Amino acid sequence: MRLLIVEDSSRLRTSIAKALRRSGYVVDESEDGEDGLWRAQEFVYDGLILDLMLPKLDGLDVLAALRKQGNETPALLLSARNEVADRVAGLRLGADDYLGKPFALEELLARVDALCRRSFGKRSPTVRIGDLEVDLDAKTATRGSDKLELTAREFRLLRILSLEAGKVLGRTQLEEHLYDDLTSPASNVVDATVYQLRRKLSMAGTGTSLIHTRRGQGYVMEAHS
Amino acid sequence: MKSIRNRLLLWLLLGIACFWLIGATGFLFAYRSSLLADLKAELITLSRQVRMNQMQADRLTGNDTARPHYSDGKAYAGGNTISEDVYWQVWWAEATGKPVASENLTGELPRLYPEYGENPTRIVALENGRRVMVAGGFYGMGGHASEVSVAKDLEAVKNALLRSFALALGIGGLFAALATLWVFYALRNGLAPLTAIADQVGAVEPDSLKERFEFENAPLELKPVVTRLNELMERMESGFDRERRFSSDLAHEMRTPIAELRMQIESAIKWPEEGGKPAWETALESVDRIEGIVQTMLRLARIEQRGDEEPPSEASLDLSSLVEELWEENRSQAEESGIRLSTKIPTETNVAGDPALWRHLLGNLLSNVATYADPGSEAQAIAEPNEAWNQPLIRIVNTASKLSEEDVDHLFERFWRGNSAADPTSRYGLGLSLANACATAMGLHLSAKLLPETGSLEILIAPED
Repeated sequence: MRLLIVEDSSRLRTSIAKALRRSGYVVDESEDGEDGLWRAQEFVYDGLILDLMLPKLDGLDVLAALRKQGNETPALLLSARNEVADRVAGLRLGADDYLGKPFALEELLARVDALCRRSFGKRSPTVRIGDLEVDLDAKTATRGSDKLELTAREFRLLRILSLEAGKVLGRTQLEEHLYDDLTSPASNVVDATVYQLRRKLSMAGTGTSLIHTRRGQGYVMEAHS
Repeated sequence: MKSIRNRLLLWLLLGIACFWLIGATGFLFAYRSSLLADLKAELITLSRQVRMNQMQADRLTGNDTARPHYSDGKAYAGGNTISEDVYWQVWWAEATGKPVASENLTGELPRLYPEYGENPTRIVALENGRRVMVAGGFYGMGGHASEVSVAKDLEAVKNALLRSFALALGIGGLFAALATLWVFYALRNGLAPLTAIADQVGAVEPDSLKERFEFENAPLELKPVVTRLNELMERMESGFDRERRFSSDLAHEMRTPIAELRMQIESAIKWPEEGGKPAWETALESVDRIEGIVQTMLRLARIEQRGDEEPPSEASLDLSSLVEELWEENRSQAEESGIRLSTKIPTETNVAGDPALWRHLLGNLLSNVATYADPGSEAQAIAEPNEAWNQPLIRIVNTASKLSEEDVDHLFERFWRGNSAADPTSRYGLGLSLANACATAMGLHLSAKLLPETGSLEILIAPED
C-alpha cells in the first residue's frame, strides 16, 4: 500500500509518515501543494493524505485538479479548519474522508486503513483466499489454523497480492507498494520477498500454492492456478 | 426616588396642587371681598331705609315734624320688612349716650360717628357672640340730624364661603385625580422611546453587537443618548471582534502544533522502541512552537488593547542608532544568507513615539528582511524628511523574488506565511501583524508594495491619514 502525505508542517508530516510506515504502509512525503500534485500525477498511490492549508497550492485545489484529471485515488483531508463548511467543501470536491487537527493516531490509522480498503472495493478488513485469511487491520495472516509469522515487507506484499487477488501484478507495481520513492531497492528484492512468502505459505494450512508466476508479466494470487 | 417617571409625576402633582391652592385661595378671598362689599351696600341701603321708614311713619301718624319720632324707643318699620338678622340703632347726632331707638338687639351697636355723606363699616362681635358687619349713616340736618348703625350677621357670608370652599375642594380633588391619570398616561407615552431604548439595550447580546439603535426616528432629546450608545456598540463590537479573532486565530494556529505533539506522544506510546532523545527533542520543538505562538499572540493583543486604552508615551529617538541596534540583533541570521543592510538616514533624524512600540515595529520589519530577503541581496532602510509631517517617511526595501502581487495583499494578515510555510525555520506569520499593530497604536500606517522596476518589496511607514 503506497500513500502520499502532503503536509507543510515538517514535524507533523514526519510523525504521520513514521506511524504509517510502522503500520505497514509505504509513504511518500510532500511539503507543498505543487509538489504534492506533481507526485500524485506521476505516481500511483492507494491513498492521499492532504492538508488543506498548503503553501503554493491549497489542498482543495490539489484535490480539485486531480479529480478533474480523472484521478480517483481515495483522499483523506487533514485540516486545522474544522468548521462544517470546510468539511462539506472538501467532501463535495471529491475527498473520501476528513479529519480535523488535532487527531488521535489510532483514528488516523483506522481511517487510512478504511480508505485503502475502499480503493480496492473492500469494506471488511479481512480478505480470504482459499484457506488463507489476511486481517488488514490487525496486520496478521493465518492459513488454516496456522498463524503466519511475516516481516513488515512480506506482509506488505501479501496485502497487495491479496487485495488484488486474481490480477497479475508486475514487479514494478509490487515495488511501488514495497518501497517509497526515497528507497532504491535491489533488483531482485521483489523476487526474494515473493520466494520467502511462498515458502511460509506452503508450510501452513493445506500448503497449496497461492502465489503463481506469470512469465514475463509478474505474479498473481489465487486459490487455484 | 430612582424612577424618573415617579419623580416627574410627584413634581407635576405638587405643582398642580400648589397652583390649585393659590387659585382657590385667591378665589375665596375675592369671593369674600365681593360678599362683604355686597353686604356693605345692603347695610347702607338698610340704614337709609330705617331713617325713611321712621319719617314716613311720623307723617302717617300726624307727628310730622322735622325731627323723626322715636317715642317708644323703637324705630318704626312700617310696611317694610327688615329681617331678623338685621340690627340697627339710632342716635341724635348732637347727643351722646344711649341710642334713641334700636331693633333686634339686646346690646348696643358701636356708634361709628359718620360724617355727612360717609358710610363707614366695621366688623364687630356682639354681646351674644355673633359677628356682624356694622355700617353707619348720617341723616338729616342741624338738630334733626341722626346717626344710624345698621348691622347684619356675617353667618350668611361665612356659610357662602364654606360652600364655595367645599365646592373648590371637591372640584380640585377631582381635577387632581384626573390630572394624575393624565400625567401618568402622558409620562408613559412621553417616556416610551426611553423605555424602548432600555429594552433594546437589555436585549443586546454578544451576537447582536452589529445592530445599531435607530437614530433618525429617535426623539430630539434622546438623539445624543442614541449617538453615544451607538458609539459604545461600535467599540464593543470592535472589542468582541478582536477577542473572537484572537481566540479563533489562536485556536486555529494551535491545532497543528498540538497535532504534532499528540502524534509524537502517541507514537512513542505505541512504539516505545522508537522513542528516545530524538523523539523528545522533536516534541520539545512542538512545545516551543506552541509557547512562541501564545506569547506572540498575547503581545499582539496587548499592543492592540494598549492602542485602544491609552495613548502611547512620547519620546524622541535617533532613527539611525535605533536601526543599527535592531539590525545588530538580526545580523547573524542575515549573514547566514549573505543579506546586507544599507541605511540612507540623514544624521540627526529623529522619530517621535513610544520607544517600545518603535522597537517592535522596526525590529519586526528588519527581522523580516533578515529571514525572507533573497540570499546574497542588499536591503535598504531609507528615511526621507517630510514637511507635511514632523517625522520622516521610512522605507524598508528588500528583494523578494518569491513574492507575488497577490502575496503583498496578505502580508499584514495574521498567520499568513506565504510560501515560507514549508520552511521549518519559518516563524508564526505574526511579525508583520505585530509591526502593523505597533504602527496603528502610534497613529502610523504601514503599506507594502512590489517595486516593478526591481521586484523588491517596499514597506512604507507613514502617517495614518
